[in-house]
Amino acid sequence: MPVIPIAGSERFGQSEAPLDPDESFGDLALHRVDAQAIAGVDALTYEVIRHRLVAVTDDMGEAIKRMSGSVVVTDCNDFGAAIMDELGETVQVGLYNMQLGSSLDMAGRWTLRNRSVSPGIHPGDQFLLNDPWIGGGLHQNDVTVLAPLFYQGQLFCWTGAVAHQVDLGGVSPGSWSVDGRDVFWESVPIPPVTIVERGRLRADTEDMYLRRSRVPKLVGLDLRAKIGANNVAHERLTTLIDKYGPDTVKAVMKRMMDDAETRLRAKLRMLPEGEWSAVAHQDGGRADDRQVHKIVVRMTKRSDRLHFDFTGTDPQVEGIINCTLAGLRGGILPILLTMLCPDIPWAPGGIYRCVDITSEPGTINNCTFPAGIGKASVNSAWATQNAVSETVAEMLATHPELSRSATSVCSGTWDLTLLAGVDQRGGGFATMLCDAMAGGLGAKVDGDGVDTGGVNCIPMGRTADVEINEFSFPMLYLWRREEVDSGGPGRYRGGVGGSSCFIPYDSPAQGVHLVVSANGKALPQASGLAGGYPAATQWDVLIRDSSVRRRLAEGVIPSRIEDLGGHTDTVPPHLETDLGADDVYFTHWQGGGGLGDPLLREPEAVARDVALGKVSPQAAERVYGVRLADQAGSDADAEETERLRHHLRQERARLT
Amino acid sequence: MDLDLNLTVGPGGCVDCRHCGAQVGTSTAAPLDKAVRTQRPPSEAGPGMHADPARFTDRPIVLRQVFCPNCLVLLHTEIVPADEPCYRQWSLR
Ligand SMILES: [Zn+2]
Repeated sequence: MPVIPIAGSERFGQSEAPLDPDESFGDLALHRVDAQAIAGVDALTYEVIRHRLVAVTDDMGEAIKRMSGSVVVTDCNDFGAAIMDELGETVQVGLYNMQLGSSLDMAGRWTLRNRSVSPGIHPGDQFLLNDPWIGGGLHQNDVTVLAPLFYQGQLFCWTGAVAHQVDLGGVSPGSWSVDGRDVFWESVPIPPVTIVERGRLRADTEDMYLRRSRVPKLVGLDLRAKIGANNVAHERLTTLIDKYGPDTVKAVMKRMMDDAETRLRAKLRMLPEGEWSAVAHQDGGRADDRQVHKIVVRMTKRSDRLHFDFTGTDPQVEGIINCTLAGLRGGILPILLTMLCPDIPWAPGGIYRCVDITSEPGTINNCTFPAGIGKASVNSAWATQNAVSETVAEMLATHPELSRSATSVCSGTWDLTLLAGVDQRGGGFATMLCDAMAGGLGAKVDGDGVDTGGVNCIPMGRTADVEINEFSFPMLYLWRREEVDSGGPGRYRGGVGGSSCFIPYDSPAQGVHLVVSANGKALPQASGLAGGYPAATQWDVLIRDSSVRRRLAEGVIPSRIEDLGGHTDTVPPHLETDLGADDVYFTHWQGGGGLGDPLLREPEAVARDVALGKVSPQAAERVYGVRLADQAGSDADAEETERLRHHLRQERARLT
Repeated sequence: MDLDLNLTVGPGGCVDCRHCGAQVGTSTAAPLDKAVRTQRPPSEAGPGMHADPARFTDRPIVLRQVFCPNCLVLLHTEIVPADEPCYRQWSLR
């Protein structure tokens, strides 16, 4: 059945335009400062308060981690935190998941416009939402708690905490329904509702929210973690305002955004005028879909502005991979922050002022309700990020200094492995395995990408220890390791990704439910630059009726798929199934793209990669043109390497 | 001005190879118009291409590469559906 437009849903769609500074919102009094106050802050006070605001977002992250009970949050840092001004413009985004901080401004603006009269916005209120058409998170699992801070009766600013919740209902555990056709297969989005009213948690709203989850106690704890993070922020901010006065603190907030804008504009003026285009592909929009869906972007740089034009991107699909405008922005902001703004305050409210976006509603990365968006964050938002990464890096490559911030595409997708069922303590569980946080980073213009260095959009992302996962969930690892040939070949090699291989273990149900969703199997997603090759394709394998338990009983830990016995199946991009007692799951996530011609890589570096298991002897010879003195990769044979490289140059250009 | 590890803007605004000096493009508005282009099966990108794309999609997938016409240094690599044009392009004003 085709996705049918829903009358009235347009009320929840948003532009990304800031609010008019003079707009009024019922009888809500907003604290504002004028240009004179902003200009009047001395440099020392500015830096002291600015650093304090940065520290507040760090404190928010710490608070979320300490109060949450979810491994995804406590051990993997899949959450975001930010401070917004009175109009919702983002003053400072934390170092955690920057995708989750990309559209808190949209959520703040919508809440001001739609909640200031009814139910009203009062001191001590906090609002919960998980509606990516409105903003905040990128898919329904990203639940935002927005908190207005009042000072002396005026709405002074907002804080926002967002975290990935492991299950919020829908057809499949984890809310990732791989057969999904539209949003109604998924967790139905919640527009902003009052979750804390004048300082008291609303029991009715909480029940409405948690009733949908398969793990309500865990999600309830995360809810308190986010409310607590906002409370911590409000305590710190109130102390700061008490000390320096509201006008000075607000002036610093505005100046931070102005400063980010001014400095980014200055940096853009250092770069040449031009256009850079890129494409990102996703194979399969849901289970059994054999199409390849594309996002195209043309980035134009004129003077001190960037224009991202997504015209030509495929229409939204009946599936789970679409993202809303919030997701599209989540694909742009992390690249701007990490590549263009490493030395500029991370104040998205100012950075966005340098950016124009053209995107047609109804396309795969700007979809309309009720398109399926269950995997938006790690599908079309992530793919947007890949395409944007290419264009920005190529622009930066033209500058002798700024090029050092450019990388090839990092870890081409999120390798979703969702486990659910009955844990070893007899309780129900659902979790997303976050091993893929150890993706490979893209190569740089002057060096290799970091092996298992992380993912682009979560600078503080980390993997849980194997032991934490085994303690928390009914699973036993056979291995978790870096994978050979997973980094994109190049003069500078992309960072390698890794793999995990595990069995269900110690569940009273004798097995676990498994949801797999990871693209990049028909074609790679972490592209290279300047001739560099893309990173390896995603590779997931299911082994049924293995001999692994017998091998373990014999005291042998298998370390290769070939040693597992049973029947081996390569897993498609989207699959939901059960893992039985004798089944094994192997998942191999992506590395980073390479940079430059691999035939120009130092032969000694290739030999070292082979010795360390980063590159196979086969790839050393066929892709890098390096003939090793022996298979262990200890040394390259200089004469043979030169001969081989000459031959490969001719052969790959079809001149032989 | 260097454009990346391989290319530079030569005299008269043409795009030259940094490795051998050969002209790769007549201008920064058409930076690779003299380059050599090839199309091969994706498996030739190396052992990192794990499974046959035909397992997952009915569309043909190809490895496309672009080379300096003189020294054959590799300038561009992509693995894409064969029925699509090359979306990865750039030009300077
Ligand atoms: Zn050349």
